[in-house]
Amino acid sequence: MSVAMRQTVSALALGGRELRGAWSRRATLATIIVGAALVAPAVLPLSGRMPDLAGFVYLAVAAVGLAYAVGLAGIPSLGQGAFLGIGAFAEAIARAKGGWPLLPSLACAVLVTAAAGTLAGLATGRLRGAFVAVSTWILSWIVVLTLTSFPGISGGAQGLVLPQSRLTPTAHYELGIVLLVLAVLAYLVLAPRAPGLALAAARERPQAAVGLGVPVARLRLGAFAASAAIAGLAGALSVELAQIADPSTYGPFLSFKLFVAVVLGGARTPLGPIAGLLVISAFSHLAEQIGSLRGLPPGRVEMMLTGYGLLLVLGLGGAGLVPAAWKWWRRVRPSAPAPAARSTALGEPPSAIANREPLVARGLSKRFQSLLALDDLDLELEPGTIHGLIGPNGSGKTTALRLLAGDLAPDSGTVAVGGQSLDAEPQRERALHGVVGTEQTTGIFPELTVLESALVGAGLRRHYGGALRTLLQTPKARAEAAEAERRAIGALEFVGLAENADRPAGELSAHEQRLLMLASALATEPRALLLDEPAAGASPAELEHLADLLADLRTKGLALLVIEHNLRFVRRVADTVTVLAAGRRIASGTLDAVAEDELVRAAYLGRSRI
Amino acid sequence: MQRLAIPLALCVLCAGCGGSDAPKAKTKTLLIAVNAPFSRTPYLGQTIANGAELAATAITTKDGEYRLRFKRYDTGLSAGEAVANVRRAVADGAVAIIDEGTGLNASWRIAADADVPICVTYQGGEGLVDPTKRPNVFRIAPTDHGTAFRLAEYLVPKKLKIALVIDDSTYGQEGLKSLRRSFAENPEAVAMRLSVPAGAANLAPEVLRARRSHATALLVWGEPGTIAGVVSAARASGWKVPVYTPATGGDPLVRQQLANHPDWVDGLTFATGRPTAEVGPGPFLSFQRLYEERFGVYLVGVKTPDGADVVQPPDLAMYSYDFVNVLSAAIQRAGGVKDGKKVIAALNQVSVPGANGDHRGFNERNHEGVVDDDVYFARFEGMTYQPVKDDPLSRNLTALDQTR
Amino acid sequence: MRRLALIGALGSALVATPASSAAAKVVPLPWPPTVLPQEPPLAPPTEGVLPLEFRLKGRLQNRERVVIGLEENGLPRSIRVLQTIEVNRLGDYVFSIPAPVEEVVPGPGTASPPGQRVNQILWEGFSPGHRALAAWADLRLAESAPSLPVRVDLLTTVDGRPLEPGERRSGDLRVMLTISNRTAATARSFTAEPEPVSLAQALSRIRSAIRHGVFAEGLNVGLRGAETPETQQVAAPLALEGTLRFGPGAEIDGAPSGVVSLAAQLDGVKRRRLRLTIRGRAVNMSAPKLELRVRTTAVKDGVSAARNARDRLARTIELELTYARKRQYDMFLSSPDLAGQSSTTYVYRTAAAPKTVQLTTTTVDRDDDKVGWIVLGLVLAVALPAAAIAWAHS
Repeated sequence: MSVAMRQTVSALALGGRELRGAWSRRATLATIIVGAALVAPAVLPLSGRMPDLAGFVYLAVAAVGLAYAVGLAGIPSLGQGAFLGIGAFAEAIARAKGGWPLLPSLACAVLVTAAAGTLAGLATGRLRGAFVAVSTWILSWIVVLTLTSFPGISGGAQGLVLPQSRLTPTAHYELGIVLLVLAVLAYLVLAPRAPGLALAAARERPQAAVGLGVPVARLRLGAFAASAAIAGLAGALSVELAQIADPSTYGPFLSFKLFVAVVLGGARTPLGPIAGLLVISAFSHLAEQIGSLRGLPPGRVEMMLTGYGLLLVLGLGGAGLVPAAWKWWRRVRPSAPAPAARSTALGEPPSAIANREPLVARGLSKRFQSLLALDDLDLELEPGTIHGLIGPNGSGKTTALRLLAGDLAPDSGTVAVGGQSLDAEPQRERALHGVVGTEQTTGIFPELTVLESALVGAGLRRHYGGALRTLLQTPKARAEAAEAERRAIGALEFVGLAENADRPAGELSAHEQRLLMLASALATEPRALLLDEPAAGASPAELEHLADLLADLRTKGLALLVIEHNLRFVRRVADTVTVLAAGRRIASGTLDAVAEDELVRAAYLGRSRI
Repeated sequence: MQRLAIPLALCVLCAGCGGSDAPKAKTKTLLIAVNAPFSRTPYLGQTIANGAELAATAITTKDGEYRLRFKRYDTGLSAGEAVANVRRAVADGAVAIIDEGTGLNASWRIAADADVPICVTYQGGEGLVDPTKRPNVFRIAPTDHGTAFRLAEYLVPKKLKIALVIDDSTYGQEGLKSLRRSFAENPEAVAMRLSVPAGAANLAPEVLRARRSHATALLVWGEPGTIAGVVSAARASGWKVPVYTPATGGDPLVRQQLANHPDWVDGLTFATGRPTAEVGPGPFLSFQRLYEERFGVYLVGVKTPDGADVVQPPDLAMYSYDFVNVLSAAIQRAGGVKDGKKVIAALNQVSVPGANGDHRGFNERNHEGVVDDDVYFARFEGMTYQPVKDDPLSRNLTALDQTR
Repeated sequence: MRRLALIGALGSALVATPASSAAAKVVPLPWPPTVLPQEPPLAPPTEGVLPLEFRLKGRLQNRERVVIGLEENGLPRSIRVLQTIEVNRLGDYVFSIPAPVEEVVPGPGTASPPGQRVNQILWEGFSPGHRALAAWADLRLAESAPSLPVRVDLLTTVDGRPLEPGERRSGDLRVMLTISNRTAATARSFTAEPEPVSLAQALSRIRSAIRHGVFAEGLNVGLRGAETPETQQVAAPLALEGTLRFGPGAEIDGAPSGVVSLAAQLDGVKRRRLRLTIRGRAVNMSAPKLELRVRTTAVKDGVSAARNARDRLARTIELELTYARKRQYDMFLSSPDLAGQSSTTYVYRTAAAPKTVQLTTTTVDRDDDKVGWIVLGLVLAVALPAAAIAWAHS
């Protein structure tokens, strides 16, 4: 016990020191603002408006929760109002009909909503973009129609009346502020760290993220469920405040309003939804004034103004008010000196492979409807070798890479490494086994920095990088994060991008982007790298650099498969090649040997020399 | 001399600053909130608010003189919004709230905590008003209980087989509870009970089911749209049974929706609070004149067979009007509004002449300003309605002029 | 000579008539509302009473049953009235009845529920021709007990010592029951030489009112000469009947069943009291229980036995005032139609003391709160370090 206590004390002390070190003026300012918000009811004459204020704060909590789905995970959810309603009615039913006390009812509401969010997330998991928006919008309708159709459950149009609560509106307000701060803090902690980076990668290039071992589907589901759970908590508390659960409050317009607030304010920053909601509230007041002046129903005017707001933001680029304001602020105020380049001494170069086992593919075949893309391919990648895979366009090279990487399931054939079959393993699991592939196109994450992109890859080997540990910043999570950062920097140093660590990946040249893809893949600590056209668009000097890098990796014992059209480059780097034509292997061996093959020449359309 | 000028000037100024001997009148403003669905059902909301604003505007008590100010809060027919409005009204310092009734099950507590009386002037649902459990809640409107029992009392002796058609709106569902009780002792009078969706465009299948039950009359309890839909479906199929409804049958919307078939409206009989009393139509006609002078005539939008425009008498406005007058009397009796509990207690002790000539008041046992008996039956003929002659209370009443 | 006699007779007649006319003046008989005590019916101070509309006067019947709960010594401990009013006219009605009510609840068979205001029972509704309204009213004892028609004194002694409430003892039993008619009142009246015809008219009206059970009005009488003020003792004549029941353990002389019946007529003037003494033996016996019904009886009309005109006037006034006093006790609570028909039965009954409801205090909730905070504190004191340890190792 005393050892445990000592460890605890020292961990707490270390954590405290790191927090002090990370404390900034912005943090001080934020603390002052939060303190002022908490103290405001005691100082200002707000008692009459406290219920409205507390209601606004709970709505802001739900909006920040939505930012987890929309901003972090890129899920355009138009169903947050439905989750607010589910949480509200779960709470109301537990309290009004079940006679439960407050805390168990709240817990029940959160759990029910999280479960509903999980189910909805599973149902919409494979959908993207507009389809997600539509299906979540339909969910909003389903929830409100269900509530109004079963008045025995929901109290009908009169709503469900809750037992009188001991919490005053001021207590609700204070509680809401605390929850809002926690939601914002959680976002700020998660976004730049492993879970947030993985979600960002999944948001920008899901395919590339999967290739680096990011569990895209699970992360998106988790973000969606968390967003729903936060909405459920906000809904449960807001109904405790209102003392009545009214189905009409949780209609599709509420979902729309929250979505617009998040987009309007900026989905990628936790303060964006709060700013957006303030603007929406201003719309609401404006709508009332217009409505009373013109004799129009204020609800309709509000909907119209909200729609215009959304169009305006989308028309101006879609980043949101807070990012735009921040950008303007940086233009107006001279920016602080650029942070010093990270010490390369922190980097941990890719280490030599310990387990030297070949990647073996036997009889791989894949048909796409009537097209036989690959027919009975055998391939063996030995550790410490570079094997080229060449052939004309459409010969099945990329298909072969995707089958090896696990991105596609073969119709027949096997893939194994070190005698262990990988047939049942999807892409992420193959990455865990050390088989990592890169995309033919530049599969980088444009909005992440170079270092962040590499960290996505480094996250594959983390055991303590989950959302909860990251949130709580446990000692193991922090230690592992530091180690991952060292690995990521080492990979960047290896490919020569360490100096650009803080640049957005989208600003790199095409070749640099391909190097970044390589670095991200290296950060996963692979044993077999499958590179699809790594030399595309490279200048001769860049080709040389790349060739040196691949040679280096070969000496470290990696097995490399390189798909390339640039035969000079293939000659430069590959130990052996396999030639594909029309999905079949037509030759294997050294490049010189296969160049003499009649079939190979014919495949390359009679070229006299390959 | 100059040295004295300033002190002299100051003395003159001070002398001029003295108060007058006449006591200054202390006029305070009292806020009365009107919580109604202005946006969703404008006719209802406006009528309630207009009736209130027409009533007494100043009260004199031993505490001083009070002027009444009215503020409208829109519920949008949402219970949650209605509750939030009551909070706002209390925060704004309202001394009383006139409420359409939506959300009252939650909002009454908020008003009770602030010792603010609430008066319901439209919804008649049972359970809304309870002098013991909800001492600050009052109602001046025909109750569902009274309307349902009067309907049963009126219809059962006619030996009809009645199909009860109820829509799924709050109004319909609350009415169903009362109808169940009122017909409990005469189940043989009910041919069938049918639930229909409120706002449905076509009720022909439901009406056909009612017809197949061999019903000889329809009692439709629901929103005006539902009533128009049922009448339309019945008459279009040639089914000419009498149709009876609660007060919503008299809503202008029913006639507006059946404007193309005025003969379908003939015979429609509805039960509602009486606008005139045994003393005669004088009081209501005075009220009507005052109302129309201030707010104008409400044209229903249909015409009689003679081509005259049909107007809607402001019967719904009576209730909010009467409440403001009862409240004024109560505030006078309580000596002011400093103690809300005293005002609420005083509401139980005062009576005032109502807009229709009836006494209006509450007591410690009963917070219903319209007694269950005060429901009469009116029958449409030529787009206007007259009291029926086969009911003792109704035949005593004078028909109102509804044309211009 | 005959002509002179005739002229003389005519002249005398002419002279005599004006002399008689000059001697008679018309005065009202003593007006009961002013010469008799106001209560009953009970008239607590109250504001905003809604009086009965004129069109309903004569169209109501009022019946009351006043149930008086007695302590074991005969003193009243509770008064509850069941008032039933029958409205026999088509039309609206709204009226209130002043009464020192604590609580009003609907009575059996009522067609509409009664309302309650401070010191008022309120009725409002529509009568389709006939409507029965009934209400039970619990009255405040201090204000209503003095208006009860009889007083009961019950003294039970065993071996010479009074039996305390709830006590059981054995020994020689002696019970003294005294029931007193308390309705007597001294009324301001007068004597005079009445004008016979007008007196006969007034008497006829009084008798008609008695026959119809309504208030006698318009009672004026012509007097020959001045009236001399005097006072009259009047009281409501009462009929009593009831029983005094002894519980097991009592051996009563002359009542082997343990039930002693009693009946009497007390006119309140000549006969004011009924006294009963009961002897016997008590074996572990508690006080007996009295049940007594009291109603007013017909007023004795002694006018016919008058000796002369002055006496006739006196007896007529006595008849009028006694009838008025009887009518007062025919409505313990005010009838909405004071001039109309009304009847009241008084039931005196030994009753158990009402159970007092203990109000629950809020200290229990406060104690719960304190315990809750302490538990929360303890939980936090354990949970926080445990959470810190778990965090440090995760």
